[in-house]
Amino acid sequence: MGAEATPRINSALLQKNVGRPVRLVGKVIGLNATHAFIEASDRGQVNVQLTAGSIIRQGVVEVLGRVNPDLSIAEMSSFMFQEDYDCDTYNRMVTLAHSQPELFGWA
Amino acid sequence: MSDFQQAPPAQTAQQPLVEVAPQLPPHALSAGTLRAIAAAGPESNSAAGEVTLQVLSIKKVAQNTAQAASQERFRLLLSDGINTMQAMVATQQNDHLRSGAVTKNGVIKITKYVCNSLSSKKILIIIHFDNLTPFHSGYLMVGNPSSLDENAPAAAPAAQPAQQPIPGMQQQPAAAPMAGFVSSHQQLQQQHQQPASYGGRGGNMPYGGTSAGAQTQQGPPAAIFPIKSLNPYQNKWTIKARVINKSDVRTWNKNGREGRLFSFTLADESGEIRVTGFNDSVNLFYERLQEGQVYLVSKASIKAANRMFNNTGNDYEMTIETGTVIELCEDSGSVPQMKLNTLELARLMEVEKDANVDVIAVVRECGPIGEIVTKAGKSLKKRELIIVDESGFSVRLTLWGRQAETFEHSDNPVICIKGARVGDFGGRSLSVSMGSTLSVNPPMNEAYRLRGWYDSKGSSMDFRTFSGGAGSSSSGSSRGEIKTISQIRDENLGMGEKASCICAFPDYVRIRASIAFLRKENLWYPACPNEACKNKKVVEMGSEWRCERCNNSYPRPNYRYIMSLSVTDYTGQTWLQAFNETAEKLIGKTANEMNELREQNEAAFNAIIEEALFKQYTMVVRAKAENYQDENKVRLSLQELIPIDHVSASREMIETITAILGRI
Repeated sequence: MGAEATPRINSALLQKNVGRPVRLVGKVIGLNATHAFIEASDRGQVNVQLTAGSIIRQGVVEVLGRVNPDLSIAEMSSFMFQEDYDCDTYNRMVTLAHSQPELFGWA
Repeated sequence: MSDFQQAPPAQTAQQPLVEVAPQLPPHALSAGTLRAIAAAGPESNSAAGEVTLQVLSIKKVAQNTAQAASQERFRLLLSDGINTMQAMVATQQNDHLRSGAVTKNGVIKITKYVCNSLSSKKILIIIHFDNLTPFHSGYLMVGNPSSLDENAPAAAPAAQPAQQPIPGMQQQPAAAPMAGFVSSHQQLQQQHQQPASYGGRGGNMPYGGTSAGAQTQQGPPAAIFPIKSLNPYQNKWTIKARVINKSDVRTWNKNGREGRLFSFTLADESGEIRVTGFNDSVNLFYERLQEGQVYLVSKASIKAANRMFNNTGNDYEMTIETGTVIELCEDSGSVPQMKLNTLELARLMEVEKDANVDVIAVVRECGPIGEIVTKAGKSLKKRELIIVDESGFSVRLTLWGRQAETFEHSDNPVICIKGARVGDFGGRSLSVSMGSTLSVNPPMNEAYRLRGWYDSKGSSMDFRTFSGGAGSSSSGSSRGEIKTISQIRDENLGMGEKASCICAFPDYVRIRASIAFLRKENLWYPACPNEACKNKKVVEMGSEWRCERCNNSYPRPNYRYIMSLSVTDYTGQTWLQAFNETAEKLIGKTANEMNELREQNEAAFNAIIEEALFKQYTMVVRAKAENYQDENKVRLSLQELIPIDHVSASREMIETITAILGRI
C-alpha cells in the first residue's frame, strides 16, 4: 500500500472519493475491449476503464484504480477471485468501516 | 324503635307467644362484634356502641345467696351470626326475661354492657337491652356460629353438621397416595380453618417414652395447632404434620463425650419446622418415623433456630425428648404433600447466591462419584449432574455424601429438589444440601410432562448455560459464540467451583485460531489393531507387538496420533492436545502413513508437517481440570476441527462490531 489512502468503496462512495485511488470489489457484468462494467457490493454499477494488459474477465474482481470526475474508475491493477463472494456482508463491512475512517487511515 | 320492653312490672303471667313462620329474624346481627369484644381487652364496655345479637338459649340460674328468689339470674347464649358468647343479664332486667318476652332465637339490641373474663372465658354482662322481637317465637338460627372459646362446645341445634370428622374420612377430594412426594397445587389452597378435634386415633397406638409401649388413649381431643404458631412460651400444643427430610443417625465425639442425633422436618399447611432428637430419642423414634407419613406430635420443646443448619424459614426449631408423644395419623388428607414452588432454570439468574429454590428437571448427564477432602480433613463424596428443563437452560447440580453415593442413574430421570442451594459457579449452579429433599421420578404431573418433553424434544436440544459460552454436551460439538484464547484463561474454563474440587464436567469452547507449531516427536503411539481393545497401547516384544487386553501379539501396531500443537489467535497462544481423528484432518495423512514416510523420506515428512502450519480453523476445545502431580491444571484438547466458513464468520464479526458501536 502506498502512502496515499486507498479506501474500499462501493458505488455510492464514488462521489466522495473523486481523484483518489480506491479499491472496488464487485461482479463483472459487462466486458468489452476498453471497459468493464462492475456491479459493486451495493448493487450499483460502476464503469471501469481498462488499463493496457488488464486481466479482468468474468467473475468477481477487486479493482484498484483512481476515480474520475465522471465517477468512472481508471484501472491501475486488478485481482480476480476464484470464488463468489457474499456481497451483502461485504457491503455491510464497507459501510461499517467508513463509519470509523480513522481506524483505516482513510481521511 | 318503639319500646316493647316496658311490660307492666306487675304482670308476671306470660303473654301468649306469637308464632312466626320458620324464617330468619328480620333484624341484622352485629356480625364480628363478639370476637372484637373478646379481643378488646379484659374489661371492654359498651363505649363502642350497641350490639344486636340473637338469643340462642335462655337459662335461669339460681344464685347461692341468702336472699330471696328475686335474685335469680338469667344466663343467655348470644350469637352475632359468627360466634357465640355467654352472657349474664343484670338483675334489673330480670322482668323482661321472666315475662317470656325474650324468646329463643329472638333478637335483642344490647345498649349497655360490660365484658368480663372468667378464668379463660369471656362473659358479657348485659346492663340494658332492647328486645327487637318480643314474644316472637319460631325464628331460625342465623348462620352457624361457633364458640369463641376453643374448648367450649359449639352451639348444637339439630341442624348443625357434624363437627367431629370421623377418623379416616377425608373431606378433601381423593388425595394421592401418601408414599412419595405427590404435589398438587390444589392441595396448597385447601385451608383447614377450624381447629379440628381429632381424637388421637389413628390405628396405631401412640408411642412416646412415658410408658413402655402400651399407652392409653389421650383424654379429651386436643386442638391442632398450626406449625407457624409454635413458640417457646407455650407448650400445650399438638401438631399434625408430615415428616420430610429424615436424616441419617449421626454421631459425634467431642472432648471424649459421644452422642447421637438425627433430624427431620415437619410440615403442615402453615409452615415447616426442623426437628432434632438426641441420644435416647434416637432409640425411641428413629426407626418408627417414616418420611412421607403424617404424625400427631406433642410435648416437645421449642427453641430459637440455629440458622446455619436450618433453612426452613422458621424462627424456631423443635427438640423431641423421651417425654414427647408421637402418633401416626391416618387421616392425613388435610396435610398437604410437599409444597413445591418450582422455578424454571432460565430464571435462576434472578435468584441470589446462597438462596434456596425448588426445581424439577431432567438429568441430562450423571457424572461419576468423586471425593474431596474438606477443610476439616474429612473426605466427602460428591457427584455432579447436569440438569435441563423446558426453559432451555442447563445447570450443574452437585450431590454430596450419601445422596451422591446412591444416585446412579444413567437413564435421564426426572429429578425434583426442594430446597436446593443456589451458587454462582459458571454463572449459576445448584447444590443439594442437608436441608434439601431430592426425589427421582416423582409421581407428579409436572414430572410426567417433563418426561414427555425430554423424550420427544429435550434429549436432542442444545441448552444455554449461564456462563454464556457453549453448553456442555456429551457429543462434543457445541454451538455458541466464538471465544478467544485469552478468554479460556481469563474465564477459568474447565476449573471447578472450589480449588480443592475437580470439576467433573469439562467446558467446551469454540475458538478461531491458526496452527503455529506442531511437535514432531512422539507424534503417535502404537495401538492394538483389535477394535475391541479400544486402542490400547501395545508393547514391543522382539519383532512383535503384544496387547495385554486381548492377549495377542501382532506384527504391526496401528499407530494413532497424539499430537501437541500450539495455536494462536489475535489474543494469545496456547497448547492443545489433538487425538487421532482431528490430527489426521490437520495433516491429511494417517499416522501409519506418516510413520512409514518418516522412515523412508524425512524431507517429505517435514514438508507435509509444514504444509499444515499456519492454517486457520474453527476449533472446538475441551477444557478439563486434571490433578497432575498434586496440582490442578486445566488441560485443553482439540475435539473438533472445522474449516472456517468465512461468510458466517464475517457475519458474526459484523454483529459484534455493530453491538460494540451501538454501546459507545
